[in-house]
Parts: sequence; structure tokens; C-alpha cells
Amino acid sequence: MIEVEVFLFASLRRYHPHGGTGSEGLTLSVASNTTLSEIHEALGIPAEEIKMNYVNNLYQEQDYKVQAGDKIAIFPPIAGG
Amino acid sequence: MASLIRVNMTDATVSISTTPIKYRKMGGRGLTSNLVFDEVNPECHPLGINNKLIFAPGIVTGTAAPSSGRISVGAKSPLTGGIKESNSGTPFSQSLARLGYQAIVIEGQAQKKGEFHLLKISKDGAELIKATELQGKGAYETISILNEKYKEHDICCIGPAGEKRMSMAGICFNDPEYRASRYSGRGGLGAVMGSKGLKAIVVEKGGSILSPLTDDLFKSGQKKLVDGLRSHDVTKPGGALNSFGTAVLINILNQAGGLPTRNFSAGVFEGAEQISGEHLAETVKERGGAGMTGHACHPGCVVRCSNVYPRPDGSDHVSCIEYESAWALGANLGVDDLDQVAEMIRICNDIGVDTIEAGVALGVAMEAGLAEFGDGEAAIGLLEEIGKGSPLGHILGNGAGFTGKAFGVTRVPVVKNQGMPAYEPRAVKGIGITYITSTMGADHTAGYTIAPEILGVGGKLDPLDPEGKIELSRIFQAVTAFVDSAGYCLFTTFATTDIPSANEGMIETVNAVLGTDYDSDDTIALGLEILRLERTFNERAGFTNKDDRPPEFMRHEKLPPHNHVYDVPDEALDEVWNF
Repeated sequence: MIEVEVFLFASLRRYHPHGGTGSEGLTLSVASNTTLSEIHEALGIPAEEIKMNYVNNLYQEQDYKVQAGDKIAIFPPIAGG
Repeated sequence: MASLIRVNMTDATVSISTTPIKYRKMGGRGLTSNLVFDEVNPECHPLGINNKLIFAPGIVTGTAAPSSGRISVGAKSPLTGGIKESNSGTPFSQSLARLGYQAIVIEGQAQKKGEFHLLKISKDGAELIKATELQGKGAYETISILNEKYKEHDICCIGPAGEKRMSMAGICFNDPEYRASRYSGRGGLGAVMGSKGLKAIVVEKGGSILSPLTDDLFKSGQKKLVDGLRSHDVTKPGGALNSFGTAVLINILNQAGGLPTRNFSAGVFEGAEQISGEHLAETVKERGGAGMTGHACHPGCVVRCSNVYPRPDGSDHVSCIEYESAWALGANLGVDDLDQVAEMIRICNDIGVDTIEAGVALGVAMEAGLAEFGDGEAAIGLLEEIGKGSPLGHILGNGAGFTGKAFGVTRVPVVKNQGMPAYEPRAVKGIGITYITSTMGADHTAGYTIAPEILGVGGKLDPLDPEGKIELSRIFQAVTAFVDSAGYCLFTTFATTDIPSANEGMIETVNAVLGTDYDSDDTIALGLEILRLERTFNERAGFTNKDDRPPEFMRHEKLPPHNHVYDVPDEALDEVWNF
């Protein structure tokens, strides 16, 4: 097993298992080669609500396999300017 | 038939005439830039008698088209020395259009420096009135006095910074509840208004919603666009913009390593969460009272991305905390206290300065050692100096470039002397191309490539890779010039980019108003034509391709966390204008 840290943003914070404002990072223990999609599923976030993942400040697709110590940021569709 | 109001400040006279044929199918940015091009000597002093200040609602502004309450303001910029258009969302635009006025042209200059007038516009005409009692007053008090005196009018004004002709002075418009909160902020247009001797404009409300030439076509286009805005994930009711405001971008830019921090010395800010849209929405919910998200800057907006930020006791502190303002006065200064950021925005709104230029100038001042990064109280004190008009306030109030020169700072993030907005070019290469090549100086709204580079709107591109970004920036700059002319909020383009029927709808509403048959290609061609005109003005003002360059430090200072320099070559930057 490896540990990764997950952060949820905007409307996805309602899926934070500890409630509150949902701004705190979540430390997850997952098997090696776990994908981002599998992490979404584990957190109960419907795939259609997810638009982007940034891992260690880089954009990654859903099939990215996480590595020990990864900091994973998950976003719904957002915009601004 | 639409008409132009011409105000001669030299002899304090006003005349109203039918719009010349050449300008009848123009609006917003297209109209302000054409009038500036035709009537302003590019070599004139921006604060002198020969500059002109133009106000123009968009083509569809005043109709029932959604999210179209925009007004463009144009002139030669005292900040950049080039052409400037800065637009704002406000009921003022709709009231002006509904009285049948296509533009206001302010020309000449009050003969006595420090003497200010008010321009009063009604359905029966326009007149200049002496405004001695408004002199020196902040925008909040000015709008409050004018709202009390002229009921059922919309209002535009400058604050003390505009009166003192500072290059970061903006022009303020009221929101629907008469807050001094909607700004044509960029490029020092408030200083141009101040130099003319014009403190404020009031426009009578009550004109009828404008009827397009082709009603069926308009209704069809309106429906397609409204449906698109209501269904797109970021613009729909309850969507990201509506729920969190534009500051929802703070966290994603931070995660992408592209949130300029402490005067563009890093791309990640450890205090980002505390100034984010998520934190703002949570605070609004906790404090209640006057606070709200989902606020509209003008009636008829579907997106409603504005907000009212409350004090701890629930009273109205400021509207609006935008992404750009939260970044400029937050991350860029190392400040992570949203109440302090709110107070800084309130001061900017009151003294009448652009929050972006103010934040960038303060970042440079902190670099110079005038205050410590992270010291929000000291930053508030520096902004107050601008309002007081002290010698230090005049240095800061003339912008980031001026401040950098005054204090010998070399890390000065400006292009054409205009401060960079909230996206780091070294981490997001395409937006850098827009900053560097835009006719406006560093301006994110001029060609918002952030949509595909960061947000996955209109495809998803690698922000760190320059490949294909020249063409991307050029096309985005052209589309934006059209949208700014049509009078639509730039945020409609999130829907029109992803939903073809929404784009069709936008173009149909324009065709229905003008009696034209533009298609999508035509709108891009029209946008390119406006860009070419603005570019020619700048060339005649003395600009060359050597002005289309990044700040030198970005070529050699690597930006953490990605440790990139700005690596789009000069020759590639020049290709933006090869069309």
C-alpha cells in the first residue's frame, strides 16, 4: 500500500468524508497502480462531476496511476477570469 | 435612429447628432476603437486637450439579450501610451443604450485645472452642470450623493485618483443596488476623465427595452444563447461562477503552479485556500447578513458571478471580490486574510483605482522594501497614500512600471507598462502570448487562452507547452474583439465555445439588431479588423514589435514549482500579427 493526499475543490467538497468545509486534505492508503478514476470511485464522486485532476501541480488524465506521496487535486468544471 | 453625444469640455458645450453611417453597425470596443482611431492623434499627450474619452454600449446592449449589459470606454491610455478599451458590466450601459445614445464622446479640456463638471443625460438631451460639491469625494460618496439627488438615474464617476490624473485610475459605474463597484479599471481611463474636468455622468433610467430589427431571429438567437448559458456547467445557475464567483480560480491556478505569488517570484501560494472562492462562499454562508454570492452586475445576467462580501457582523463590506482582485491584493502581496483583501478592494473602489494595477504596483513596492510581503495592514496603508495624494501615493498611483523605476526594482511584471494579471506566463505559455502581443498591454481578457490551457473549455492543452499557442492567442484575441463589440460579457464565451448552438444564438442576436447576415467566420474577420486598427494606432503612437516582448526577468528567472522561464521566442511572438 502507498499513501497519497487528496484535496477536493468547489462543489466536490460535499464528498469530503469528514464534512466541515471540506478544505482539509485527505490522506488515503491505496494499492500501487491505483488510478485517479479508482480514487474518485472510492470517494463516491460521480465521474460526470469531475473535470480535472492536478497531481503535484501537473494536469493528469483519469487513468494516471498514483505514486507514493502524490498530492492530488480534484476539480469539477470551473471557470472565471 | 441612434445618436452620438459630443461633450466639449473646453467651452462646456454639448451637442447631439445622428450617428454617421460609418459607425451605425458598430458598438462597444469596435466603436470606441474606431472613434479613437479616426479622431485622436496617436502622438497626443493622453492627459492633454487632444485626447478623447469615448463611452459606448455594445451592439445588443439595451435589448433583452442575456448577460449583455456592457459598456466600453476607450481613449489613448496614459498608462500604456497606446489605444485602450476597458469594459464593464453595469445597468448604466443599458440605460444609455435605451435612450438611443450609441456613444458619448468627451473632448477638449476644462480651462481651469481642478474644476469639475457633471454630465446629465436624459431622453431630452444632455447638459453639463458644475460639480464643485463632488470634488475630492470618493466613489462611494459620489454615487450616494448623485443617487439621492437624481433618482432613477444610473451613475458613472471617478474618485480622487482620477481627479489627480494617476495612471492606475479607473472609471466607476454603479451596480443595480447603487454600489460603487463596477469598473472600467484598466489603463488609466479615470485619469483621462479627470484630465477633461469631468467628475461624473448620470443617465436617466426608464428607456424601453430595445426592439431588434428582426424580432423572430432575435428571439431564436436569444433562446439558443440562454439555453447554452443555463446548461453549461460553469455558467448555469448553481454552477461554479454562480456559486463561488470568479475567485473559484484561485485554487486551480495554484494547483497548476500558475498563481503569481509575492510579485511573480513563485507560482504557488501557501495561503491560496484562504483567499479562494470556496472560502469566500463559506464565509458568506457563515456570516449571513448582506453577504451573497450569485449577485448580478446588471439586470438580465444569466451567469450572476458577482458577490457581496460581508464583515464579521454581516454588514456589507465590499462588492465584488473578483479572482483578479483577490489575487492582486492577496497572493501577489503574500496576504492570506480575505477581510484584509476585502478592505483593500473597498479602498480601491473608493479612491477609484484598478485593483489589478494597484496590486501589481504594491507587489513591486514590497519588492522594493516599502513593506513586508504578507503585511496586509501595511498594504492598506500604502493604498491610503494613493487616496491622500501624497508624493508616495502619486508614485504608486502611476502604476507598477512607474513604481519599479522610482525604486530601482528590476522584477517588474508589466507589458507596455501595464501590470500583468493573475496568470503566470512562465506556467501558462499561451496567456503570456496574449499579454505580450495585445494592443492593450498585459491583459488577460484580450485573449483568454486560460479556457483551454487550464480549464478544459474548448479542449485541453498543456499550459507549459508553447506549441500551437500563437494561433490560439490570435484567434482568441479576434473573437474577444467581436464579443467586446457585441456587448456580451466575456463569460458567455465559455458556453459559446463548447456549445455550437449557443454561438449561433449569439451571432443571430447581433444580426437581428443590425440587419446583417454575419456567420462565425465573419465575426472572426470583424475581430481581426478591430485588432489591426488598434495595432495601427499603436504603431503611429511609436510602438514596434520590440514592445511585444516579455519583461526581461521572465526570460532568465525560473519560476517554481515548474522551474520554467518564458520560452516563446521573439520571432514566434511576432507571428501573432502575421495575418
